[in-house]
Amino acid sequence: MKEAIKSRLRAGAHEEALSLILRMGPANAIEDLEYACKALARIPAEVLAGRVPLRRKLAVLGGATTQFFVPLIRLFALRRGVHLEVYESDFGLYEQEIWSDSQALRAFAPDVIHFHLCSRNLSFSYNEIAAADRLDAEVSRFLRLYRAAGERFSCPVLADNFETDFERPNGGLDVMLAGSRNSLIRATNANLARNLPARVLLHDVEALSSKHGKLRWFDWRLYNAAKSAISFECQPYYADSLSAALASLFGKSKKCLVLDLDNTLWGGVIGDDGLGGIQLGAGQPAGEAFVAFQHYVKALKDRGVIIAIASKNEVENAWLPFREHPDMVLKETDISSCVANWEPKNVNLRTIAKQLNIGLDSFVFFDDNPAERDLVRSSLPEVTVLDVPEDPSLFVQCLDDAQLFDALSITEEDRRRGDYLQGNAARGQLEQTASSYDDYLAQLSMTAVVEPVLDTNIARITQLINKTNQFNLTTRRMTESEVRAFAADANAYTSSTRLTDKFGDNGLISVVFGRIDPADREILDLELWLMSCRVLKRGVEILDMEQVLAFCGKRGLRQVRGRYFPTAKNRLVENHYSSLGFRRIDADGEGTAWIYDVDTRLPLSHTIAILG
Amino acid sequence: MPDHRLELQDIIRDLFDDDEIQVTEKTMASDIRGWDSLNNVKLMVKIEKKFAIRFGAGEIVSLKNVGELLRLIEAKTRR
Repeated sequence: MKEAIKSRLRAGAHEEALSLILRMGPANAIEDLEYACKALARIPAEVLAGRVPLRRKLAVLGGATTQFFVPLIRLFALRRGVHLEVYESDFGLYEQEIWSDSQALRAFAPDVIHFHLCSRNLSFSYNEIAAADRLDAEVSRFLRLYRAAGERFSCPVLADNFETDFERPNGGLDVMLAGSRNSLIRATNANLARNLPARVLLHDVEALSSKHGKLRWFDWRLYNAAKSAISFECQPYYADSLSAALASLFGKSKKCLVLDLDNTLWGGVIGDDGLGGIQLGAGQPAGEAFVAFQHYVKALKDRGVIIAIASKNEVENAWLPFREHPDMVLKETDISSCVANWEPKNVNLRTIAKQLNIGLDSFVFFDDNPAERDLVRSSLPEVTVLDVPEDPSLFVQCLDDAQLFDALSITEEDRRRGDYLQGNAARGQLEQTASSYDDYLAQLSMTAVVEPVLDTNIARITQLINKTNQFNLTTRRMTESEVRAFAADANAYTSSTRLTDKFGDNGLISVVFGRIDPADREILDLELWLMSCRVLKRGVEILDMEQVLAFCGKRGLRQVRGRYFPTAKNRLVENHYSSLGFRRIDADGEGTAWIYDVDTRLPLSHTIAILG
Repeated sequence: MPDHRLELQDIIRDLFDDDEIQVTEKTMASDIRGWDSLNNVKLMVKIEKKFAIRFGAGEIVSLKNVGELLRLIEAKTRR
């Protein structure tokens, strides 16, 4: 990362450098984060102002050393949409700044005052006597300080609560003694939380330090050397948590979570696997993970986060689990907007934004497919795209860690927001982002391997033949021996395509079978054409057609004939042959028939490199 | 004997974001802009990480210049 930013800066590509800098989160390597903070100074003011116009002033009054992490707060606040100017009081003078009505602080005129504190700022000593009195005195000291800060400087106050120690001189008794240091610290936190003056918010350092582990959070050597209450390792997490609170104070929390469906809310693909085939519910690890994730999303919805869906599915399939699966936690009524079609997702996100009448910069996109995430990230930079982990068991943490939806309070209106905004699963009329979509496809660096039926792929081919329902022209099922027999025919054409892109190997994703018509030996009948929906509209359809035409050329065939047999699930491909330039012809029986003259040039192209 | 001076120079150039900094045996903290006590702590942590050594609580306080720091690093890496 560091080298990438350095090279952009050297080349004067400030906008690109800034984009890289703003992609960094607390989980990035410390060296990269430190460099990003320094690199920010090299970004021209106009570029920064253009990217993050909202400016706010933060005063940090510390009871411990603040200089190490303040640059990180600036970095993560920028990422969340707030350009902070920061004032730091001299070390340890957090009370004096307020009570002496600091001139410097007044001149700074903060928009928010943050008290950076640690448990060493509490004067509890071990083995407290008269614990209750000490507790009241300390709680009052801080409450009065926060109230005065807010009143004197007319701004909100964000105060750290206190982390418990990991050392316990009372050993096992520690938790049972009301006067032990940790018990007093816990009681202080509880008291503060219950008695906060207006416009004073608590920043839960106790929860944060517990989450990361107190042994990692507090470094005695660092505290002794520099009076830093947080280890270098954990400072980014502290800074990010603080910037989430600041972002929500300044109206920059996200408002809408846009979810994919297949392999995001349940395991598998509803259009292909059906209600009984998707993984959702108790009994299987994957099913449990998706249920847990749905519970978390539901909790977000219940406190006012808008939930929307952008899925590559037929509309009826998209709603099917919501309506009929017994283990679905999320209901139709929880979804404020659902766009289910085969359009690119950046187009659909614009539709949702228009429907809900909120800006794209308040969107969070959560999709298991890295290619979709990349498309949205590159075409809609205002949208926050989460790096979704591969294991669904980690989905909740991914969303929770990002802390994108922090609110200052939860009102009745928040609780009811989802119902108010619930709309239809409609498609909007939108500007097509055609050129950017082609660019996107080109930079996917797709490569493909095309093979006929072989011993090495016959099992997978047979599997695809029997489970693919949506992108399937004839829905003809075959057993492995039938596939083998078909391939052995000298007049048969079999092809299977494996696709790899920059995100990895997608595996075998399409199958085309044909046979030369014994009655008219110059026509190839396509008996089978199916593809995984995951790679829809990437050009594989065109690549497969090119392969068919190449075969026809080699065997001197004049025409290609295809049939479409409609089923409940494959309406997706009713225009497949038409889109490839086939002509409709009459046919007996169900469905449609199509013909293509081999010497006609295929009007379409793709950006997939064929290997081997 | 491995030249730790160059590695140390890299660390210092990195920390103070200045590829022009020249570090010699005689270099002192006061020679480099921004080398205050807090950055000194940061530097020591980076040195510990890079050379896989640990400084004891009192060891750094008495160091006068880079030369003495290098001597300390060499002593610890030799073990």
